[in-house]
Amino acid sequence: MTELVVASRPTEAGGTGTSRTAHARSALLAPFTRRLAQLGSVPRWLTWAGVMTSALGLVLIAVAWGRAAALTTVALQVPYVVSAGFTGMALVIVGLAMVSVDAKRADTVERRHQLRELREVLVELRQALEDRP
Amino acid sequence: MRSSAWLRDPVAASLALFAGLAVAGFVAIGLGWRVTARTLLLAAQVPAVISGALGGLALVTVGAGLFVVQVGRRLAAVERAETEELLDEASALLAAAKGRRA
Repeated sequence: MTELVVASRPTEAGGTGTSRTAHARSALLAPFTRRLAQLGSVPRWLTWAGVMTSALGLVLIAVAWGRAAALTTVALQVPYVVSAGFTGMALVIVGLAMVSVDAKRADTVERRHQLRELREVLVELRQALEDRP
Repeated sequence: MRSSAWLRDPVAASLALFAGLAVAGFVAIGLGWRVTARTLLLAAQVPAVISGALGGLALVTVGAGLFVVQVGRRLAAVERAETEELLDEASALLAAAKGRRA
């Protein structure tokens, strides 16, 4: 509702309220988009491998269900539950672990980059202080 | 070159152990499947499901979970070391500023 009122009012700079709102929104989103861009520069093959592993696990569980549903003897169903069902579950867990490791790694790469930049700034500041007569 | 540096990492042995646990879990599931597929007697299949399949799944879960935790700890240690360097540099900067004032 507030946004509507702002949008109908012209701004001092001559622009409409809509463009001002859009500008404010993009300014608000800027840190997130910058962060996403930084994350995009980190190689994320492990994440994809983890997603594919989990997907393979889900497919195996579906196969186990399909095979077990086609049988009426429990003793014949059990091997499918064990081979495809449990293996599928294990693959899902391993895939999630891979995604988790890659996410942690990506976050650490970003934080280390920030720490390094901060350290460089401090070094430059100290050198500037020492060089000043 | 890079792989030898990775092998020298103190965390490498534990990571290999946890990955080995997960692999052992898959092997246990395979053994459970072999035993259950060999018999049509349900009473004989259930122990194999529990010891082989459930045990294997537990091994995979424990191995993957500990792997994730250990990787997190290693990355945190690297970050702590860099933060320590940063603090050293900040201390040096403070000392330089104080030296100028004196």
